[in-house]
Amino acid sequence: MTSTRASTGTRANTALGSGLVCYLVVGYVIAAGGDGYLLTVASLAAVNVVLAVGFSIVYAQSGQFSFATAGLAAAGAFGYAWFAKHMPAEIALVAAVAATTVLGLAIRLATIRLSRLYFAIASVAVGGLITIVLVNWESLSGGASGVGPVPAVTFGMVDGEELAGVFLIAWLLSAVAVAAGSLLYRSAWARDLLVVKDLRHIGQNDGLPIRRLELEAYAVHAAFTGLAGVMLASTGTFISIASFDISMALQVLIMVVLGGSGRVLGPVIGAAVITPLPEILHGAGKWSGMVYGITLLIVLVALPDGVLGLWDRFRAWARARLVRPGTVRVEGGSP
Amino acid sequence: MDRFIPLLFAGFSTGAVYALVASGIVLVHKASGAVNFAQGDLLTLGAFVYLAFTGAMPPMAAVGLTIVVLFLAGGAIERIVFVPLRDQPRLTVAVATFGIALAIQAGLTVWQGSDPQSVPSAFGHGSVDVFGTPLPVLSLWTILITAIVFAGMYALFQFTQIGRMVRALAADREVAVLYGVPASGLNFLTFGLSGALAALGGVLLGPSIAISPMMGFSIVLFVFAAVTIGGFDSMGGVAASAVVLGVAQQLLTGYVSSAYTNAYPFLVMLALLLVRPTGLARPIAAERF
Repeated sequence: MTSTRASTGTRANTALGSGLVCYLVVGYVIAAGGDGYLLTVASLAAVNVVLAVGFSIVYAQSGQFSFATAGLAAAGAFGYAWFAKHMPAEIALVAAVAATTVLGLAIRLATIRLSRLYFAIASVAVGGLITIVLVNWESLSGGASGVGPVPAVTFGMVDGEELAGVFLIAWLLSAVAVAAGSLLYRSAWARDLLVVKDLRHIGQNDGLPIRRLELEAYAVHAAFTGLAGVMLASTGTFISIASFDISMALQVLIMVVLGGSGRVLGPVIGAAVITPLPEILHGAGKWSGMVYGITLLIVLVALPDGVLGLWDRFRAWARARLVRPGTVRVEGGSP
Repeated sequence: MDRFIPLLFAGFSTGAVYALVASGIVLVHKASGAVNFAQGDLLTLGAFVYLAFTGAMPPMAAVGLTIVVLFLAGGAIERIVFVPLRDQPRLTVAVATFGIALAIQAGLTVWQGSDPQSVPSAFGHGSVDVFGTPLPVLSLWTILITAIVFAGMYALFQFTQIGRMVRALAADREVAVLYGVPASGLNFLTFGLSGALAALGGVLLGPSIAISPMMGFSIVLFVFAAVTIGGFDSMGGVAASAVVLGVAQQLLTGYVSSAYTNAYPFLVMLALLLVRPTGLARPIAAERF
């Protein structure tokens, strides 16, 4: 809590600016020098960054556990594919994100009276329902065989046929999402969400509109997830409902838990670590599921605040020992 | 009517398996407040362990041994996940059980591959004619065993000292511990029992479908629909809603459309949750933190 407060201000703004510049430079280098394989993995990383930033706002910041990730992403992807048949890709992107946001709002509005645990379970059902409806709605999703080719988002800046260009746009979109997430994270709104998560009853007594905040956080999450779906469709050119299964929700969950909460950097780190994991584990392909499961367990048990929490603890430790030697030890960081 | 009786019967049989899995979830939730999403994968594990044992020994011995192994597996989950996370929010514990679920699925895939396999039945084959309608023997056994298990658990919780202690833990953990209830041992016991119930579910369900490492996770989603409707703490309510869901699923599949078989339990659950956000059970306690 204190660290969030301390990081608002000019210094944090420079950090965001330079961070984004680094992020874009990395993307440009990958686009300029990467082969097809690297570009595919990096595109997936961009999608995962957007997914994880959205999920961290709803799960780590506002304490709602939603399992509808795959369903919402599928809605974004197939929505985009359908809109793109009737309008330019850029407008289709906006329309698909808007449609997913409305869908998320409707889902959360219908379930707003449920307690957290019941909502977590209901969201599993909702996510499953969306995919089942999509499989059977063949004119939209192409049934089990999928739809394609889906036009890529280009903004008129790159060649839509070229993998590197399409990737660059996806990377740009993910940078926009990270910037938006970062601004959201340092807003008063995000601090209200923390109260909703941890001090619900106090927040209620202080007049915070708990349910409206939950609804807003969920809508933001839906928008991010919808954007990720659009990016999947745009970079993949061919989409099938089979790629939106429950393991997608699990992966995003692991990214967010591993990265840590409170800052936009957490989910970005999580996505950067988890995305290449299946590629690294390629030789041991069938073990990758176990690695995921056990990673999740180890992180939850031994590292409940994620990589960011570890870093904060290290910084507090270093400051106490290195910066002011001989003086009274400064207690800082998370307990 | 030709179709109605078999469909109804299949519904009862499906519902009985859902109820077995659900009872494990309710048991654990009663004793520890934890929600175990890995329950369905314990069922899968039970089916595969039974498959491994059944070649080497008589069927009933394999069933018994499977139940023992799964009892230990359930207890291990308690020691690995629940003990270190006891002070964390309930949602964190629930998320951790997802990790267990994933690890079990992947472990089974490594062990047995992801292809569906058939399991020999320990409880006979074929069907018997009841009023001219052929009913599968295995389904009859499933329903019977589930009924016996539920009666046994009811007796355990109502009439024995262990049952009273578990109920005391569920009602108020701190006070129960102050009064000398051995919370740690009882938690191990309840997690183990839920594993044993899952083993039974796997042994009963396995032969009627082809088993694969992913099957438990899809079942547990339906089971959660039942648990949500029935209320997390009411064994009877959950059993009833599991059977109702099973029957509704089979009847809707038979009479409306089979394309949405997997959607029906969710639809029923969502419709009910919209009307009663806390499920059908009477809410008796405030949210625990």
